[in-house]
Amino acid sequence: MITTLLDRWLSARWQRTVASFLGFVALLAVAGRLFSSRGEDGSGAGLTGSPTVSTALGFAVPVVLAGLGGLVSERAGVINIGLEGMMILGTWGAGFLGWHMGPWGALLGGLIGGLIGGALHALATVTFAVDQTVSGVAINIASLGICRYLSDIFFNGKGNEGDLGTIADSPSVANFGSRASVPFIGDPLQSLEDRHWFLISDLAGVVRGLLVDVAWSSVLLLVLVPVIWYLVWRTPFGLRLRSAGEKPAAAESLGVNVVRTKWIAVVMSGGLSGLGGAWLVLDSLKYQQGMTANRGYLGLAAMIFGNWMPAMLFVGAMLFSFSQSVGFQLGYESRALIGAVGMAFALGTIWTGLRRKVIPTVLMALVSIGTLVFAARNKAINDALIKALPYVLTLVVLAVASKRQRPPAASGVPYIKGHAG
Amino acid sequence: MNDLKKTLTPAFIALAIAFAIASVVLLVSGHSPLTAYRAMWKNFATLDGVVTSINVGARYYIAAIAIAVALKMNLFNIGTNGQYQLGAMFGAVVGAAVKLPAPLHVALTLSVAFAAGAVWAALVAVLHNTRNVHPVVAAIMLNGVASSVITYLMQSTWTNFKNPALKEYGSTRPIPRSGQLPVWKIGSSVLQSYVLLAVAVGIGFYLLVYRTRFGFDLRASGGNPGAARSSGVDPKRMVLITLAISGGVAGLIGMGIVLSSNDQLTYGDRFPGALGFTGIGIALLGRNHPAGVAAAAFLWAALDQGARGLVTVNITGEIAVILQGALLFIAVIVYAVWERKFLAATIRDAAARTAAARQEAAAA
Repeated sequence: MITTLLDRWLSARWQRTVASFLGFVALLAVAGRLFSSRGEDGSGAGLTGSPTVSTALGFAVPVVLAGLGGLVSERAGVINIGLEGMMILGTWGAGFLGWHMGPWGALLGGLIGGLIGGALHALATVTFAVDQTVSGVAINIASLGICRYLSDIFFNGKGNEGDLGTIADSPSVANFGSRASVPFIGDPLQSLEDRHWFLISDLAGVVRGLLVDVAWSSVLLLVLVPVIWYLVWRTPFGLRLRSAGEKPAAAESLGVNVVRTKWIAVVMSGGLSGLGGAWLVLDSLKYQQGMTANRGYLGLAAMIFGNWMPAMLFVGAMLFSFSQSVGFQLGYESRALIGAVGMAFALGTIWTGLRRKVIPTVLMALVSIGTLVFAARNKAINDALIKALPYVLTLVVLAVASKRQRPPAASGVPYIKGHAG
Repeated sequence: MNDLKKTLTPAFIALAIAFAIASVVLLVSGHSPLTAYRAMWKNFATLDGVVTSINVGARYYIAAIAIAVALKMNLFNIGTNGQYQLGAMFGAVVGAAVKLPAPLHVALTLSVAFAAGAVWAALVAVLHNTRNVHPVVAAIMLNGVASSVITYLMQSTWTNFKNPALKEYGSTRPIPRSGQLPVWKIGSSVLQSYVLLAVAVGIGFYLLVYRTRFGFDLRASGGNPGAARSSGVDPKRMVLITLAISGGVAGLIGMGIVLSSNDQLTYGDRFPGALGFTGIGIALLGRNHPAGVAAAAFLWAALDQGARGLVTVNITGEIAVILQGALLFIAVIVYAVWERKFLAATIRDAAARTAAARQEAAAA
């Protein structure tokens, strides 16, 4: 009885998920020991410390939301390079409504800002069949100007004494008062983490970082990952949406209103990206010009990494934000992370070596040796290199993962009602 | 309807709609549009205003041509921001380090800037060709890496020194006289000969795209990749060469700033950082045509220049950015609709002619 239940729970995919999670933590644990991810006095969060993981989870939220936006839009056949601009509009909306109405207002404002951006993109790409990349870039450029103009009117010199807005930022926005935790596990996990036992403390740190003391805005928004999965893969609307992105002409012949479906998808896409912007505002406690810092594009990268599926998209965003979070720690962690990358490549070398693929094996071995030697020889990593690490890592991961991908068939193809053959 | 009119009409429609939108925005925020536009015109329509617009417009033009080359084959080189900053930095370092006769010195500096941009853009092509990484995403990531590379290199003593002219800002050493591009004094304003470089780039772009075998392959790959491939065009090679050219041209974007004596003469912390994105907007506005892009670049620069006059009437200069953004957004819609209208007319024409021919054949 119990074994059948266990079997059902640990179906192949679950096993794989749990195994790769544990494998990842183990890799970090080993790297953290080999390349000492803490200072000699034990200072610093460590590679698997809960502060590192907790920060990473937060950083991932806007990237995940932008990625979900890209996913919904591309699954309906519309490429959305404009996610960045929609997120910018979202940050402004969140700054404005958040300043007046508090954290819920910020979420609402982010949503509205993003929806407006999405509607612009839908108008151009769905109604007028403009080239989708062109329209997206136009939105990115236009949103910068719109937000600066609006800031000058609504923020500049407004607010309380000592908390005045300017043309580049809003007066402060309040975040949710408390933070969310899974009950009862915080203290036991912390005591485990503080023991510094190999692997066990590492695991405790990672789990604590993910489940304890998480910002409410992160919880509320990350819930959207399963929600979007359900919507797109388990509802009639989702089926219509995906059919519009795979073969719109066939969908239309079966009575799907392709134009309306695409409109809804693209507007929703903007709303999701805008909510990502709202997270940024709640995290920084105000709107700042340029605070999105290319996260819209990073979301696109996470979506491509995740092969247009929500769960892997989340993993991709976490990989990026984890390396970013590592860069925010004391610096020992960055070195250990580079070591971990070297070790991952060493494992890859063995994997391809066993399959006798000569060129990949040699390449991987070279990268592996290079990074390992670099990590071993450099106690302190240059700040500039630490900043580059998330980007380089994303490129490496994409270079390894991009070969086997399948984007929606009609993604990027403008559709004009009744015109498709 | 002749060709020129067919091309210009949608541009003017877009311009009119954009001004209408900006006027509504101005009215809603309690300003008179007329006052605003008069102030902008007054600041632009002076000798200095026009010369500045030409200098800045040249920069925008090169930025847009870099985008346009790649767009001719439907490639988006969104990485020009990183490419031109690397180009400017390497150009500035080499230009300050060597001693050569003037024309050689300038040529060397420009080549270095071109090469730096080309290599960085070629990385995108390599990632795309060999590992199937989406070029837009690869370019964005490489932009992030580029700024780190620059920060890293600028920490070393051979690039960086405290520039007394720029006070606390770090920068490369100033370019000596033999390495500078000449400037011309016109009254109290200074016209940069960098403008000639922009003209050369424009002519080069025209010849390359419309008058060479490569340009034909380029346009064929953009218009119908399948047909291009079957006629023997290697798509990977096209991506590599096109992105390298695009990145190389992008490497020249900042060289007017680095090499003109009325400008910075260095690469440093105060170097403009987002000219690449402006270039995208201008390329789209000018429809990737060398003359159209020139008009768009000058218009964009003129709006920038005009915006600085808005302070005198207490209106925020950002209305110009709204105007530019709205113009771009409206223009891409109007162009698409306009093009489709003519496409439909062409198809109807062809259908009618076929039908007539068939009837004739039947009658005979």
